[in-house]
Parts: sequence; structure tokens; C-alpha cells
Amino acid sequence: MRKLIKMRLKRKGQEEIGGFAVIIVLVGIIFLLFLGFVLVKGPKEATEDYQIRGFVQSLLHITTLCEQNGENISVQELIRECQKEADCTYGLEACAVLNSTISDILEESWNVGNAEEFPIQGYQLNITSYGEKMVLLKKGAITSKQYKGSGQTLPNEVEIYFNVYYD
Amino acid sequence: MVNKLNKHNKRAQMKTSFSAKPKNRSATFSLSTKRAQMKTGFHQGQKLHGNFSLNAKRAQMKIQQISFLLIVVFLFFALLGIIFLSYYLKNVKDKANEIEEKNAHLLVSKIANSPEFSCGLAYGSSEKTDCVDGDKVMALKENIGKYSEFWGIKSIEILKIYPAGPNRECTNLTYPRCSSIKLIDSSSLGNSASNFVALCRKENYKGEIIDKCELAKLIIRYEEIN
Repeated sequence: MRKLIKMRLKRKGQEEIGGFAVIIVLVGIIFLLFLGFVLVKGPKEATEDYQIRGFVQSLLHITTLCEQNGENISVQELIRECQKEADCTYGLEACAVLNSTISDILEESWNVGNAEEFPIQGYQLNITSYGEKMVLLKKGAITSKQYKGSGQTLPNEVEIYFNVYYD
Repeated sequence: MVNKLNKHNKRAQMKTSFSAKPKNRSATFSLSTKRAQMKTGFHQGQKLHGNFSLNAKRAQMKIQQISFLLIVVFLFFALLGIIFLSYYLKNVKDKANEIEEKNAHLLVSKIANSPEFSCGLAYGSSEKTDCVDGDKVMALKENIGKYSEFWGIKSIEILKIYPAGPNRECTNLTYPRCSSIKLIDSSSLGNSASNFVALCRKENYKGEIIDKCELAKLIIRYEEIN
């Protein structure tokens, strides 16, 4: 009789432990699902960087120090002159003026520094003519995987690529 | 001898009297059980009653256990729900801010290319994108009161970047030797969005009117979603 009671009690205890285990497993699964939902974010939408595009667009209109026919020409016109290997008035090389002008503009526009103050880690501007390098300017760490860029194609197969690297 | 026989018979009768009177036997049995009960202090009814109350207590304990478990499970799920809800609401807020930011960027481009700001055909045969006419903006600055609610933003500022000029605000007296043109200037802070623009103007050079374009940043401030 005692054995029977003991067996029944043991079975009851086992049932309760089983129920408890089922609840724990269920709660665990729900918690894991929730954690997965919170941690796994969907692929971030690739956004076009208006600033970089705007910068490249604006850069082409800026008046340079290169003078031709009594008029200071724009960066876009200077690129064309550099492609022709022409000179500006007063014997200045168009390509040298183009290089220094773009370098100064980049220096003034994009602050490269530590991540706290400036999130930009580096930049690279590349101008090619018929696939050949015309201007290549870079600053900071350009190895970062996170970057945004913009490209522009001009007549006579001139291509401008500008990438900004973030932390 | 006769006396001896009578005595023996009486003894035998006394011995057999127990079996002859069963009523007396039951009385002595109940007496003995009563004595046993008295000794143990346990009554048959009391035992039944005790078992019942013990079972009731056990059942009560079981109900308490289940109700406690239910409360804990309910609280756990409620907590989970609150965390999920707060996360979801935060996501919604972030999304709203992201959309607002995108709109602000679009607005910057829209403002730069709007008739009130854009260069149009004044600086070349083709229309330039992201090109702001500085002379036009200075004229607009004079009548900005009419446009204060037009774009629905808190402030518009054009900051000259290249070549770096004297660090002062542009007025009719200082223009073009200045660094910033403030159109709408609200004292309250908010989120900002900016874009690079070419700030062009007409200039008198050796008696001739020439075009001069500089690099600037068009900065707008808008209200943040709380």
C-alpha cells in the first residue's frame, strides 16, 4: 500500500517537473524569438548621399584662378583644358591649377578627423580621362568598408568619382 | 462430593457465560476500543475529519501554486510585451525621424533649385543644378518676411566655404565680402540638413561683368519629431 502511494506521489512529482520543463522550454523559445527579432535587423536601405552628389555637382561650377581670354574658367572647363594639356594665362599649367584648386576645395569642405568630432575617416577623388588617371587626391583612412560615393560623367569620356569613408 | 461438583459446574458456567451472552462481549470490546482511543487520543470521526482537512489544505496549496505560476507567467509575458512595444515604438519614431531627415535633404535640393534661389540661365547657356544665385538671394533677404512660412522650416542659411572670405554676415553693405547669408533665422534649435551648392554672382572685373562661382553650403533647420 505504502509503495503504491509512494509510486503515485513520484509519478505526480514527475508530471509536475515535466510541466514545468515544458513551460521553461516554451518561455525560452519565445524569448529567443524575441531576441532574434530585436537583434536581427533587416538590410539597411541604401541611401543616396545628397551631400556627396551635391559636392561633385557644385565643384564643377566653381570659378578657378586659371584665366583664359581674360576670364577665370570653371573647374569643368579646367578639366577640359587639362585634358588638352593646355596652359592658363601667365604660363600656369592647367593640370597643376586643377590639382591645387581641387585639393584646396576638399581641404576646406571635408574635415577628416577622429570619429567623435568628425565621423569622416577619409576621402578619395579620382578624375579619369579615357580611363587614364588625371587627378587622384586622397586623404585619411580609405580602407574603411563604410563609404558613400558619387560619380559623374562629363563629355570626352571624363569621369569623376568621389568617395567619402566613414568610421 | 456433591458440593465439589456444584462448584465445578458454577465455574464452568462462569467460563461459558461469556459465549452465552454475546451482548456482554460487544460491550467489553467497545470498552477496550474506547480505552485505546482514550490512550491514543484519536477518534474514528476525528481521523476522517483530519484526513479531509489535510486534503483540503493540500488542494488549497495546489491552487495557490497554480495561481502563483499563472501570475508569474502573466507578468513575464506582460514584461515581454512592454519591451516589445517600447522597441516597436522606438523603431516607429526612428523611422519617422529618418523620413523627416530624407525630406529635409530633398527640401535642401528643392530650395537650391527653386526659382527664388537657382542660377537659371544667368550663368551659362545651360541650367546648372545645385547652383544658387547669390545676387538673387540677397534680394530675397530683403523680402524674406513674405516667405517666412513658405517652406515650413525654421531657418535657412548659406555658408561660404571656398574660397574662405571674411567671417561676417552678409548685408547690403558687406556683400560679397562676407561668409554667411542668413535668410530665416529662428532662435530655437532643431535638426539640420545641408547640401553643397555653387554660390554664383556677377562681378565687375576690369570694367567687365564676369561670373564668379564659389563653393557654399545651404543649411536648413527643421523641427524634430519627439
